[in-house]
Amino acid sequence: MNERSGPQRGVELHIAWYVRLRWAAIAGAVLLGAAAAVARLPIPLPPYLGVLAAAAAYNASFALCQRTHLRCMPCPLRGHPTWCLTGQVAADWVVLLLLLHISGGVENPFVMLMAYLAAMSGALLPLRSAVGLSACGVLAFFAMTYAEAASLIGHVHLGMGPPGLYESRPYVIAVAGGGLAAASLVSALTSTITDRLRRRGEVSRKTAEQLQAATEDLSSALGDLQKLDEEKSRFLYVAAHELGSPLATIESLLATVSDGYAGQVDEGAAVMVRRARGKVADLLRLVSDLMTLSRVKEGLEPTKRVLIDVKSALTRILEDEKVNADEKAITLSAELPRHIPPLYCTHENVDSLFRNLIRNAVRYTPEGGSVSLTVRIDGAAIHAEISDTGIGIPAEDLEKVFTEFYRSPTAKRHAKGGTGLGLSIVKRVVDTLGGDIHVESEVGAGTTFRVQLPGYGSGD
Amino acid sequence: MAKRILIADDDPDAVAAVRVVLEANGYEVDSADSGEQALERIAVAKPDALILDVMMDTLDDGFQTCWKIKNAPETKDLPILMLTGVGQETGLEFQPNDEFLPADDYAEKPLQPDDLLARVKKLLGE
Repeated sequence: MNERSGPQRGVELHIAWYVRLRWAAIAGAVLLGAAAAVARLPIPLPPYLGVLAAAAAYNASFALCQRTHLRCMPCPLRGHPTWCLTGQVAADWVVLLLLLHISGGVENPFVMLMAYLAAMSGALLPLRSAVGLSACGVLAFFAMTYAEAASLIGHVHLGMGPPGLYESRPYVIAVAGGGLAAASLVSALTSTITDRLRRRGEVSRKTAEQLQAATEDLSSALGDLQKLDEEKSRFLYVAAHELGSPLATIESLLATVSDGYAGQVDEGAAVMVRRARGKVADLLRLVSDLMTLSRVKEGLEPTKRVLIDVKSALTRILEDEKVNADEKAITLSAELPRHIPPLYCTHENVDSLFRNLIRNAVRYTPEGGSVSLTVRIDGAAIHAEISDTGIGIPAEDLEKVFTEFYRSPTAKRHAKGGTGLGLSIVKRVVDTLGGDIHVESEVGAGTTFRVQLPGYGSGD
Repeated sequence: MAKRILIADDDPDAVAAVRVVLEANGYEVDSADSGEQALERIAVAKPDALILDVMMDTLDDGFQTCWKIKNAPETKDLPILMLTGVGQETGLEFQPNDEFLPADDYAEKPLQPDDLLARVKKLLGE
Protein backbone atom coordinates (compact mmCIF):
# COMPACT_ATOMS: atom_id res chain seq x y z
CA MET A 1 0.00 0.00 0.00
CA ASN A 2 2.47 2.54 -1.12
CA GLU A 3 0.18 4.91 -2.91
CA ARG A 4 -1.56 7.26 -0.57
CA SER A 5 -5.24 7.52 -1.25
CA GLY A 6 -7.22 10.55 -0.12
CA PRO A 7 -8.43 9.50 3.35
CA GLN A 8 -5.13 7.82 4.26
CA ARG A 9 -3.22 10.90 3.24
CA GLY A 10 -5.60 12.79 5.55
CA VAL A 11 -4.67 10.56 8.51
CA GLU A 12 -0.99 11.13 7.82
CA LEU A 13 -1.57 14.85 7.93
CA HIS A 14 -3.28 14.30 11.30
CA ILE A 15 -0.22 12.45 12.56
CA ALA A 16 2.02 15.33 11.53
CA TRP A 17 -0.25 17.79 13.28
CA TYR A 18 -0.43 15.63 16.40
CA VAL A 19 3.35 15.29 16.53
CA ARG A 20 3.73 19.08 16.40
CA LEU A 21 1.10 19.46 19.11
CA ARG A 22 2.96 16.96 21.32
CA TRP A 23 6.10 19.11 21.18
CA ALA A 24 4.04 21.97 22.58
CA ALA A 25 2.53 19.71 25.28
CA ILE A 26 5.99 18.47 26.33
CA ALA A 27 7.27 22.04 26.50
CA GLY A 28 4.21 22.98 28.59
CA ALA A 29 4.85 20.07 30.96
CA VAL A 30 8.51 21.12 31.37
CA LEU A 31 7.35 24.67 32.25
CA LEU A 32 4.85 23.28 34.76
CA GLY A 33 7.59 21.17 36.34
CA ALA A 34 9.77 24.27 36.61
CA ALA A 35 6.86 26.20 38.14
CA ALA A 36 6.32 23.39 40.66
CA ALA A 37 10.01 23.46 41.57
CA VAL A 38 9.88 27.25 42.06
CA ALA A 39 6.79 26.78 44.23
CA ARG A 40 8.79 24.23 46.19
CA LEU A 41 6.20 21.53 45.65
CA PRO A 42 7.61 18.13 46.61
CA ILE A 43 7.60 16.75 43.09
CA PRO A 44 10.64 14.61 42.33
CA LEU A 45 12.06 16.30 39.26
CA PRO A 46 14.39 13.58 37.90
CA PRO A 47 11.63 11.01 37.23
CA TYR A 48 9.28 13.77 36.09
CA LEU A 49 11.80 15.03 33.52
CA GLY A 50 12.75 11.44 32.69
CA VAL A 51 9.20 10.65 31.63
CA LEU A 52 9.12 13.84 29.56
CA ALA A 53 12.44 12.90 27.97
CA ALA A 54 10.98 9.52 27.01
CA ALA A 55 7.99 11.29 25.51
CA ALA A 56 10.30 13.63 23.61
CA ALA A 57 12.28 10.62 22.35
CA TYR A 58 9.29 8.79 20.94
CA ASN A 59 7.88 12.00 19.52
CA ALA A 60 11.18 12.62 17.74
CA SER A 61 11.01 9.12 16.24
CA PHE A 62 7.43 9.74 15.09
CA ALA A 63 8.51 13.03 13.54
CA LEU A 64 11.34 11.26 11.74
CA CYS A 65 8.99 8.54 10.46
CA GLN A 66 6.67 11.23 9.28
CA ARG A 67 9.32 13.13 7.40
CA THR A 68 10.75 10.04 5.71
CA HIS A 69 7.29 8.59 5.09
CA LEU A 70 8.00 5.62 7.35
CA ARG A 71 10.75 4.36 5.09
CA CYS A 72 13.66 4.72 7.48
CA MET A 73 12.94 1.58 9.45
CA PRO A 74 10.87 -1.56 9.20
CA CYS A 75 7.67 -0.56 10.96
CA PRO A 76 4.80 -2.98 11.55
CA LEU A 77 2.40 -0.04 11.40
CA ARG A 78 3.47 0.98 7.89
CA GLY A 79 0.38 1.40 5.80
CA HIS A 80 -1.83 1.56 8.88
CA PRO A 81 -1.72 5.19 9.96
CA THR A 82 -4.87 4.84 12.07
CA TRP A 83 -3.24 2.14 14.18
CA CYS A 84 -0.17 4.30 14.44
CA LEU A 85 -2.30 7.15 15.75
CA THR A 86 -4.04 4.87 18.24
CA GLY A 87 -0.65 3.73 19.48
CA GLN A 88 0.48 7.32 19.86
CA VAL A 89 -2.59 8.31 21.84
CA ALA A 90 -2.13 5.24 24.07
CA ALA A 91 1.50 6.21 24.67
CA ASP A 92 0.37 9.69 25.60
CA TRP A 93 -2.05 8.26 28.12
CA VAL A 94 0.81 6.30 29.69
CA VAL A 95 2.95 9.45 29.85
CA LEU A 96 0.13 11.50 31.35
CA LEU A 97 -0.64 8.85 33.97
CA LEU A 98 3.04 8.54 34.89
CA LEU A 99 3.38 12.32 35.19
CA LEU A 100 0.24 12.50 37.35
CA HIS A 101 1.49 9.66 39.51
CA ILE A 102 4.80 11.45 40.05
CA SER A 103 3.08 14.77 40.75
CA GLY A 104 0.47 13.88 43.32
CA GLY A 105 -2.01 11.65 41.51
CA VAL A 106 -5.57 12.59 42.27
CA GLU A 107 -4.43 15.60 44.28
CA ASN A 108 -2.98 17.22 41.14
CA PRO A 109 -5.45 19.67 39.59
CA PHE A 110 -3.97 18.82 36.18
CA VAL A 111 -5.91 15.54 36.22
CA MET A 112 -8.24 17.58 34.04
CA LEU A 113 -5.70 17.17 31.28
CA MET A 114 -7.23 13.72 30.80
CA ALA A 115 -10.10 15.57 29.14
CA TYR A 116 -7.59 17.09 26.75
CA LEU A 117 -6.36 13.64 25.76
CA ALA A 118 -9.95 12.42 25.44
CA ALA A 119 -10.73 15.31 23.11
CA MET A 120 -7.57 14.67 21.16
CA SER A 121 -8.37 11.01 20.59
CA GLY A 122 -11.89 11.97 19.61
CA ALA A 123 -10.52 14.32 17.00
CA LEU A 124 -8.01 11.83 15.65
CA LEU A 125 -9.58 8.39 15.96
CA PRO A 126 -12.75 6.67 14.92
CA LEU A 127 -15.55 6.92 17.52
CA ARG A 128 -15.13 3.47 19.07
CA SER A 129 -11.36 3.57 19.42
CA ALA A 130 -11.53 7.06 20.87
CA VAL A 131 -14.14 6.29 23.52
CA GLY A 132 -12.54 2.93 24.34
CA LEU A 133 -9.09 4.42 24.73
CA SER A 134 -10.35 7.29 26.88
CA ALA A 135 -12.31 4.91 29.09
CA CYS A 136 -9.25 2.67 29.50
CA GLY A 137 -7.13 5.70 30.35
CA VAL A 138 -9.50 6.92 33.04
CA LEU A 139 -9.88 3.41 34.44
CA ALA A 140 -6.11 3.07 34.56
CA PHE A 141 -5.97 6.34 36.45
CA PHE A 142 -8.56 4.97 38.84
CA ALA A 143 -6.51 1.79 39.30
CA MET A 144 -3.40 3.85 39.88
CA THR A 145 -5.09 5.97 42.53
CA TYR A 146 -6.43 2.86 44.17
CA ALA A 147 -2.97 1.31 44.19
CA GLU A 148 -1.60 4.51 45.76
CA ALA A 149 -4.30 4.44 48.43
CA ALA A 150 -3.62 0.80 49.11
CA SER A 151 0.09 1.68 49.39
CA LEU A 152 0.85 -0.80 46.61
CA ILE A 153 2.78 2.01 44.94
CA GLY A 154 4.12 5.24 46.36
CA HIS A 155 2.23 8.51 46.57
CA VAL A 156 3.59 12.00 46.33
CA HIS A 157 1.69 14.20 48.72
CA LEU A 158 1.47 17.72 47.33
CA GLY A 159 0.13 19.18 50.55
CA MET A 160 -2.34 21.38 48.69
CA GLY A 161 -5.56 19.58 49.56
CA PRO A 162 -6.57 17.93 52.81
CA PRO A 163 -4.18 15.10 53.68
CA GLY A 164 -5.29 11.60 52.78
CA LEU A 165 -7.71 12.73 50.14
CA TYR A 166 -6.47 10.01 47.80
CA GLU A 167 -7.30 7.50 50.50
CA SER A 168 -10.95 8.50 50.58
CA ARG A 169 -12.64 5.82 48.56
CA PRO A 170 -15.88 7.77 47.78
CA TYR A 171 -13.81 10.72 46.57
CA VAL A 172 -11.64 8.54 44.36
CA ILE A 173 -14.67 6.71 42.97
CA ALA A 174 -16.42 10.02 42.32
CA VAL A 175 -13.37 11.46 40.54
CA ALA A 176 -12.93 8.25 38.56
CA GLY A 177 -16.63 8.05 37.61
CA GLY A 178 -16.85 11.72 36.72
CA GLY A 179 -13.60 11.52 34.80
CA LEU A 180 -14.78 8.43 33.00
CA ALA A 181 -18.06 10.02 32.01
CA ALA A 182 -16.43 13.30 31.04
CA ALA A 183 -13.63 11.66 29.05
CA SER A 184 -16.01 9.33 27.20
CA LEU A 185 -18.41 12.15 26.42
CA VAL A 186 -15.69 14.47 25.23
CA SER A 187 -14.18 11.71 23.10
CA ALA A 188 -17.52 10.77 21.58
CA LEU A 189 -18.46 14.38 20.96
CA THR A 190 -15.20 15.41 19.32
CA SER A 191 -15.13 12.25 17.27
CA THR A 192 -18.65 12.87 15.99
CA ILE A 193 -18.00 16.51 15.22
CA THR A 194 -14.70 15.75 13.51
CA ASP A 195 -16.32 13.02 11.50
CA ARG A 196 -19.06 15.34 10.42
CA LEU A 197 -16.55 18.00 9.47
CA ARG A 198 -14.53 15.43 7.56
CA ARG A 199 -17.59 14.34 5.64
CA ARG A 200 -18.51 17.91 4.93
CA GLY A 201 -14.95 18.50 3.70
CA GLU A 202 -15.34 15.49 1.44
CA VAL A 203 -18.56 16.91 0.08
CA SER A 204 -17.04 20.30 -0.61
CA ARG A 205 -14.01 18.64 -2.23
CA LYS A 206 -16.35 16.72 -4.52
CA THR A 207 -18.34 19.87 -5.19
CA ALA A 208 -15.14 21.68 -6.08
CA GLU A 209 -14.23 18.89 -8.48
CA GLN A 210 -17.64 19.02 -10.09
CA LEU A 211 -17.36 22.78 -10.33
CA GLN A 212 -13.97 22.45 -12.01
CA ALA A 213 -15.37 19.96 -14.53
CA ALA A 214 -18.36 22.20 -15.18
CA THR A 215 -16.05 25.19 -15.73
CA GLU A 216 -14.04 23.23 -18.27
CA ASP A 217 -17.20 22.15 -20.07
CA LEU A 218 -18.41 25.73 -20.11
CA SER A 219 -15.21 27.16 -21.51
CA SER A 220 -15.13 24.60 -24.29
CA ALA A 221 -18.77 25.35 -25.02
CA LEU A 222 -17.85 29.04 -25.13
CA GLY A 223 -15.17 28.32 -27.70
CA ASP A 224 -17.66 26.40 -29.81
CA LEU A 225 -20.13 29.25 -29.52
CA GLN A 226 -17.56 31.81 -30.61
CA LYS A 227 -16.71 29.71 -33.64
CA LEU A 228 -20.38 29.34 -34.40
CA ASP A 229 -20.80 33.07 -34.02
CA GLU A 230 -18.02 33.70 -36.53
CA GLU A 231 -19.59 31.30 -38.97
CA LYS A 232 -22.90 33.01 -38.43
CA SER A 233 -21.43 36.43 -39.24
CA ARG A 234 -19.91 35.05 -42.40
CA PHE A 235 -23.18 33.42 -43.34
CA LEU A 236 -24.99 36.66 -42.58
CA TYR A 237 -22.65 38.54 -44.86
CA VAL A 238 -23.08 36.08 -47.71
CA ALA A 239 -26.85 35.88 -47.26
CA ALA A 240 -27.19 39.66 -47.16
CA HIS A 241 -25.08 39.89 -50.25
CA GLU A 242 -27.19 37.31 -52.10
CA LEU A 243 -30.33 39.20 -51.15
CA GLY A 244 -28.88 42.55 -52.06
CA SER A 245 -28.08 41.87 -55.73
CA PRO A 246 -31.61 41.01 -56.92
CA LEU A 247 -33.07 43.75 -54.72
CA ALA A 248 -30.81 46.29 -56.35
CA THR A 249 -31.89 45.07 -59.77
CA ILE A 250 -35.56 45.27 -58.78
CA GLU A 251 -35.05 48.84 -57.63
CA SER A 252 -33.21 49.76 -60.86
CA LEU A 253 -36.01 48.26 -62.95
CA LEU A 254 -38.74 50.01 -60.94
CA ALA A 255 -36.81 53.26 -61.18
CA THR A 256 -36.84 53.04 -64.98
CA VAL A 257 -40.63 52.57 -64.80
CA SER A 258 -41.08 55.53 -62.46
CA ASP A 259 -38.88 57.73 -64.61
CA GLY A 260 -40.86 56.84 -67.72
CA TYR A 261 -38.18 54.85 -69.50
CA ALA A 262 -40.55 51.90 -69.85
CA GLY A 263 -43.30 53.88 -71.50
CA GLN A 264 -46.14 56.05 -70.30
CA VAL A 265 -47.28 55.18 -66.75
CA ASP A 266 -50.72 56.31 -65.63
CA GLU A 267 -51.27 57.88 -62.23
CA GLY A 268 -52.62 54.72 -60.51
CA ALA A 269 -49.76 52.51 -61.68
CA ALA A 270 -47.20 55.16 -60.67
CA VAL A 271 -48.56 55.15 -57.12
CA MET A 272 -48.25 51.39 -56.91
CA VAL A 273 -44.71 51.43 -58.28
CA ARG A 274 -43.81 54.12 -55.75
CA ARG A 275 -45.17 51.94 -52.96
CA ALA A 276 -43.21 48.97 -54.22
CA ARG A 277 -40.05 51.07 -54.38
CA GLY A 278 -40.64 52.20 -50.84
CA LYS A 279 -40.67 48.60 -49.69
CA VAL A 280 -37.60 47.74 -51.76
CA ALA A 281 -35.81 50.73 -50.26
CA ASP A 282 -36.63 49.42 -46.75
CA LEU A 283 -35.22 46.03 -47.64
CA LEU A 284 -32.12 47.53 -49.19
CA ARG A 285 -31.45 49.51 -46.04
CA LEU A 286 -31.85 46.35 -44.02
CA VAL A 287 -29.44 44.43 -46.25
CA SER A 288 -26.96 47.27 -46.10
CA ASP A 289 -27.15 47.36 -42.31
CA LEU A 290 -26.73 43.62 -42.09
CA MET A 291 -23.62 43.78 -44.22
CA THR A 292 -22.15 46.60 -42.20
CA LEU A 293 -22.91 44.67 -39.04
CA SER A 294 -21.32 41.45 -40.18
CA ARG A 295 -18.35 43.34 -41.56
CA VAL A 296 -17.80 45.20 -38.31
CA LYS A 297 -18.08 41.93 -36.43
CA GLU A 298 -15.47 40.28 -38.55
CA GLY A 299 -13.26 43.32 -38.28
CA LEU A 300 -12.81 43.26 -42.03
CA GLU A 301 -11.89 46.50 -43.60
CA PRO A 302 -9.92 45.21 -46.53
CA THR A 303 -8.45 48.48 -47.71
CA LYS A 304 -7.34 49.89 -44.41
CA ARG A 305 -3.76 49.31 -43.43
CA VAL A 306 -3.64 47.71 -40.02
CA LEU A 307 -1.55 45.22 -38.10
CA ILE A 308 -2.68 41.93 -39.55
CA ASP A 309 -2.72 38.72 -37.57
CA VAL A 310 -1.05 36.64 -40.26
CA LYS A 311 -1.73 33.34 -38.60
CA SER A 312 -5.47 33.71 -38.43
CA ALA A 313 -5.50 35.13 -41.96
CA LEU A 314 -3.59 32.08 -43.20
CA THR A 315 -5.86 29.74 -41.29
CA ARG A 316 -8.88 31.35 -42.91
CA ILE A 317 -7.37 31.18 -46.40
CA LEU A 318 -6.37 27.55 -45.94
CA GLU A 319 -9.87 26.73 -44.78
CA ASP A 320 -11.36 28.37 -47.87
CA GLU A 321 -8.92 26.86 -50.34
CA LYS A 322 -9.29 23.40 -48.86
CA VAL A 323 -12.64 23.20 -50.64
CA ASN A 324 -10.93 23.49 -54.04
CA ALA A 325 -8.20 21.07 -53.01
CA ASP A 326 -10.72 18.52 -51.77
CA GLU A 327 -12.51 18.64 -55.10
CA LYS A 328 -9.34 17.40 -56.78
CA ALA A 329 -8.39 15.06 -53.93
CA ILE A 330 -5.31 17.17 -53.32
CA THR A 331 -3.81 17.10 -49.84
CA LEU A 332 -3.48 20.68 -48.61
CA SER A 333 -1.25 20.76 -45.55
CA ALA A 334 0.21 23.59 -43.50
CA GLU A 335 2.99 23.90 -41.01
CA LEU A 336 2.64 27.14 -39.11
CA PRO A 337 4.74 28.24 -36.14
CA ARG A 338 2.95 28.94 -32.89
CA HIS A 339 3.34 32.65 -33.36
CA ILE A 340 3.71 34.72 -36.52
CA PRO A 341 4.67 38.42 -36.30
CA PRO A 342 1.96 40.71 -37.64
CA LEU A 343 2.22 42.50 -40.96
CA TYR A 344 1.33 46.15 -41.30
CA CYS A 345 -0.73 46.14 -44.46
CA THR A 346 -4.29 45.69 -45.66
CA HIS A 347 -6.38 42.57 -45.25
CA GLU A 348 -6.56 42.51 -49.02
CA ASN A 349 -2.76 42.42 -49.30
CA VAL A 350 -2.33 39.34 -47.16
CA ASP A 351 -5.36 37.72 -48.67
CA SER A 352 -4.39 38.17 -52.31
CA LEU A 353 -0.77 37.24 -51.64
CA PHE A 354 -1.36 33.88 -50.02
CA ARG A 355 -4.68 33.05 -51.60
CA ASN A 356 -3.24 33.44 -55.08
CA LEU A 357 -0.20 31.33 -54.31
CA ILE A 358 -2.21 28.53 -52.74
CA ARG A 359 -4.95 28.68 -55.33
CA ASN A 360 -2.39 28.56 -58.14
CA ALA A 361 -0.64 25.60 -56.55
CA VAL A 362 -3.93 23.72 -56.31
CA ARG A 363 -4.94 24.74 -59.83
CA TYR A 364 -1.76 23.46 -61.43
CA THR A 365 -1.49 20.25 -59.45
CA PRO A 366 -3.06 17.13 -60.90
CA GLU A 367 -5.62 15.13 -58.93
CA GLY A 368 -4.33 13.27 -55.91
CA GLY A 369 -1.25 15.48 -55.54
CA SER A 370 -0.29 17.60 -52.57
CA VAL A 371 0.18 21.26 -51.74
CA SER A 372 1.90 22.44 -48.60
CA LEU A 373 2.40 25.76 -46.90
CA THR A 374 5.30 26.06 -44.48
CA VAL A 375 5.93 29.21 -42.49
CA ARG A 376 9.13 29.88 -40.59
CA ILE A 377 10.02 32.84 -38.42
CA ASP A 378 13.39 34.53 -38.36
CA GLY A 379 13.27 37.43 -35.94
CA ALA A 380 10.44 39.57 -37.23
CA ALA A 381 10.81 38.21 -40.77
CA ILE A 382 8.35 35.72 -42.15
CA HIS A 383 9.54 32.99 -44.51
CA ALA A 384 6.71 31.22 -46.29
CA GLU A 385 7.11 28.33 -48.64
CA ILE A 386 4.33 27.08 -50.90
CA SER A 387 5.17 23.77 -52.53
CA ASP A 388 3.15 21.63 -54.86
CA THR A 389 3.55 18.38 -56.75
CA GLY A 390 2.11 20.03 -59.83
CA ILE A 391 2.92 20.28 -63.51
CA GLY A 392 5.85 22.59 -62.89
CA ILE A 393 7.08 25.57 -64.90
CA PRO A 394 9.59 25.16 -67.76
CA ALA A 395 12.93 26.79 -66.97
CA GLU A 396 12.62 29.26 -69.85
CA ASP A 397 9.31 30.51 -68.41
CA LEU A 398 10.39 30.94 -64.80
CA GLU A 399 11.40 34.56 -65.29
CA LYS A 400 8.10 35.49 -66.83
CA VAL A 401 5.66 34.01 -64.33
CA PHE A 402 5.40 37.30 -62.45
CA THR A 403 4.60 39.22 -65.62
CA GLU A 404 1.01 40.33 -66.00
CA PHE A 405 -1.15 38.21 -68.26
CA TYR A 406 1.61 35.73 -68.78
CA ARG A 407 0.53 32.10 -68.69
CA SER A 408 2.96 29.44 -69.77
CA PRO A 409 1.76 27.10 -72.53
CA THR A 410 1.81 24.20 -70.04
CA ALA A 411 -0.37 26.20 -67.68
CA LYS A 412 -2.83 27.01 -70.45
CA ARG A 413 -3.03 23.37 -71.42
CA HIS A 414 -3.57 22.26 -67.85
CA ALA A 415 -6.17 24.66 -66.55
CA LYS A 416 -8.69 26.91 -68.19
CA GLY A 417 -9.90 30.10 -66.64
CA GLY A 418 -6.58 31.31 -65.29
CA THR A 419 -6.20 35.03 -65.82
CA GLY A 420 -2.45 35.25 -65.70
CA LEU A 421 -2.85 37.92 -63.06
CA GLY A 422 -2.52 35.96 -59.84
CA LEU A 423 1.25 35.86 -59.66
CA SER A 424 1.67 39.45 -60.81
CA ILE A 425 -0.62 40.50 -57.98
CA VAL A 426 1.46 38.36 -55.63
CA LYS A 427 4.63 40.05 -56.86
CA ARG A 428 3.14 43.49 -56.38
CA VAL A 429 2.04 42.71 -52.84
CA VAL A 430 5.45 41.30 -51.97
CA ASP A 431 7.10 44.43 -53.39
CA THR A 432 4.68 46.67 -51.53
CA LEU A 433 5.55 44.93 -48.29
CA GLY A 434 9.28 45.22 -48.97
CA GLY A 435 9.68 41.47 -49.29
CA ASP A 436 11.15 39.07 -51.76
CA ILE A 437 9.81 36.14 -53.77
CA HIS A 438 11.59 33.33 -55.56
CA VAL A 439 10.37 30.39 -57.53
CA GLU A 440 11.93 27.00 -58.13
CA SER A 441 10.36 24.45 -60.37
CA GLU A 442 10.86 21.21 -62.19
CA VAL A 443 8.53 20.24 -64.99
CA GLY A 444 6.41 17.30 -63.95
CA ALA A 445 7.71 17.32 -60.37
CA GLY A 446 6.36 20.48 -58.84
CA THR A 447 6.93 24.10 -57.97
CA THR A 448 8.02 25.90 -54.81
CA PHE A 449 7.47 29.58 -54.17
CA ARG A 450 9.54 31.13 -51.38
CA VAL A 451 8.29 34.38 -49.94
CA GLN A 452 10.16 36.49 -47.43
CA LEU A 453 8.37 39.29 -45.67
CA PRO A 454 9.74 41.66 -43.07
CA GLY A 455 7.46 41.49 -39.99
CA TYR A 456 5.53 44.68 -39.21
CA GLY A 457 5.64 45.24 -43.00
CA SER A 458 7.91 48.07 -43.94
CA GLY A 459 5.89 49.09 -46.99
CA ASP A 460 5.07 52.71 -46.35
CA MET B 1 -22.42 59.35 -83.96
CA ALA B 2 -23.88 57.73 -80.90
CA LYS B 3 -21.45 56.79 -78.16
CA ARG B 4 -21.24 53.08 -77.52
CA ILE B 5 -21.52 51.79 -73.95
CA LEU B 6 -20.71 48.22 -72.95
CA ILE B 7 -22.51 46.82 -69.91
CA ALA B 8 -20.88 43.80 -68.28
CA ASP B 9 -23.17 42.16 -65.76
CA ASP B 10 -24.25 38.55 -65.36
CA ASP B 11 -27.75 39.58 -64.30
CA PRO B 12 -29.72 40.24 -67.55
CA ASP B 13 -32.37 42.16 -65.59
CA ALA B 14 -29.73 44.52 -64.27
CA VAL B 15 -28.48 44.95 -67.84
CA ALA B 16 -32.04 45.72 -68.99
CA ALA B 17 -32.47 48.42 -66.35
CA VAL B 18 -29.30 50.20 -67.47
CA ARG B 19 -29.90 49.59 -71.16
CA VAL B 20 -33.35 51.19 -71.23
CA VAL B 21 -32.07 54.36 -69.61
CA LEU B 22 -29.02 54.70 -71.83
CA GLU B 23 -30.83 53.89 -75.06
CA ALA B 24 -33.53 56.42 -74.26
CA ASN B 25 -30.76 58.99 -73.97
CA GLY B 26 -29.29 58.19 -77.35
CA TYR B 27 -26.48 55.80 -76.46
CA GLU B 28 -25.77 52.61 -78.25
CA VAL B 29 -25.67 49.74 -75.76
CA ASP B 30 -23.81 46.47 -75.94
CA SER B 31 -23.73 43.87 -73.20
CA ALA B 32 -21.62 41.00 -71.88
CA ASP B 33 -22.41 38.53 -69.12
CA SER B 34 -18.89 37.68 -68.02
CA GLY B 35 -15.48 39.23 -67.76
CA GLU B 36 -14.19 37.14 -70.57
CA GLN B 37 -17.03 38.10 -72.87
CA ALA B 38 -16.56 41.73 -71.96
CA LEU B 39 -12.96 41.55 -73.15
CA GLU B 40 -14.09 40.00 -76.43
CA ARG B 41 -16.75 42.67 -76.96
CA ILE B 42 -14.24 45.39 -76.24
CA ALA B 43 -11.93 44.00 -78.88
CA VAL B 44 -14.71 43.66 -81.44
CA ALA B 45 -17.15 46.52 -80.78
CA LYS B 46 -14.71 49.14 -79.43
CA PRO B 47 -17.06 50.75 -76.89
CA ASP B 48 -16.52 54.28 -75.60
CA ALA B 49 -17.16 53.33 -71.98
CA LEU B 50 -17.69 50.27 -69.84
CA ILE B 51 -20.13 49.77 -67.00
CA LEU B 52 -18.72 46.84 -65.08
CA ASP B 53 -20.39 44.84 -62.34
CA VAL B 54 -17.90 44.05 -59.65
CA MET B 55 -19.25 40.60 -58.98
CA MET B 56 -20.02 38.53 -61.98
CA ASP B 57 -19.17 34.88 -61.66
CA THR B 58 -16.96 35.52 -58.66
CA LEU B 59 -15.82 38.58 -56.84
CA ASP B 60 -12.51 38.32 -58.67
CA ASP B 61 -14.08 38.47 -62.09
CA GLY B 62 -15.01 42.15 -62.06
CA PHE B 63 -11.73 43.16 -60.48
CA GLN B 64 -9.66 41.05 -62.80
CA THR B 65 -11.49 42.26 -65.88
CA CYS B 66 -10.91 45.84 -64.81
CA TRP B 67 -7.30 45.05 -64.13
CA LYS B 68 -6.78 43.43 -67.51
CA ILE B 69 -8.38 46.29 -69.39
CA LYS B 70 -6.42 48.94 -67.54
CA ASN B 71 -3.16 47.14 -68.00
CA ALA B 72 -3.40 46.33 -71.69
CA PRO B 73 -2.00 49.18 -73.80
CA GLU B 74 -4.75 48.97 -76.42
CA THR B 75 -7.59 49.23 -73.87
CA LYS B 76 -6.13 51.17 -70.97
CA ASP B 77 -7.91 54.39 -71.98
CA LEU B 78 -11.38 52.83 -71.90
CA PRO B 79 -13.24 54.61 -69.10
CA ILE B 80 -14.80 52.22 -66.61
CA LEU B 81 -17.64 52.72 -64.15
CA MET B 82 -17.56 49.91 -61.66
CA LEU B 83 -20.81 48.99 -59.95
CA THR B 84 -20.53 47.43 -56.52
CA GLY B 85 -23.07 45.43 -54.58
CA VAL B 86 -25.50 46.68 -51.98
CA GLY B 87 -23.86 47.84 -48.79
CA GLN B 88 -20.43 47.65 -50.32
CA GLU B 89 -19.77 51.31 -49.94
CA THR B 90 -17.07 52.23 -52.37
CA GLY B 91 -15.25 54.24 -49.79
CA LEU B 92 -15.22 51.43 -47.30
CA GLU B 93 -14.95 48.06 -48.89
CA PHE B 94 -13.92 48.51 -52.47
CA GLN B 95 -11.90 51.64 -52.28
CA PRO B 96 -9.69 50.88 -55.25
CA ASN B 97 -6.24 50.01 -54.27
CA ASP B 98 -4.62 52.25 -56.84
CA GLU B 99 -2.03 49.74 -57.73
CA PHE B 100 -4.49 47.03 -58.50
CA LEU B 101 -7.86 48.34 -59.56
CA PRO B 102 -7.77 51.65 -61.28
CA ALA B 103 -11.41 51.97 -62.41
CA ASP B 104 -12.46 55.52 -63.25
CA ASP B 105 -15.56 55.64 -61.11
CA TYR B 106 -17.32 53.53 -58.54
CA ALA B 107 -20.98 53.46 -57.63
CA GLU B 108 -23.04 51.34 -55.31
CA LYS B 109 -26.05 49.52 -56.69
CA PRO B 110 -28.88 50.36 -57.14
CA LEU B 111 -28.11 53.38 -59.25
CA GLN B 112 -30.89 55.87 -60.02
CA PRO B 113 -31.36 56.66 -63.75
CA ASP B 114 -30.36 60.30 -63.34
CA ASP B 115 -27.28 59.40 -61.35
CA LEU B 116 -26.36 56.76 -63.93
CA LEU B 117 -26.67 59.24 -66.75
CA ALA B 118 -24.62 61.85 -64.95
CA ARG B 119 -21.84 59.36 -64.26
CA VAL B 120 -21.81 58.05 -67.83
CA LYS B 121 -21.63 61.61 -69.18
CA LYS B 122 -18.74 62.37 -66.88
CA LEU B 123 -17.04 59.14 -67.92
CA LEU B 124 -17.32 60.14 -71.57
CA GLY B 125 -16.20 63.66 -70.85
CA GLU B 126 -19.48 65.11 -72.13
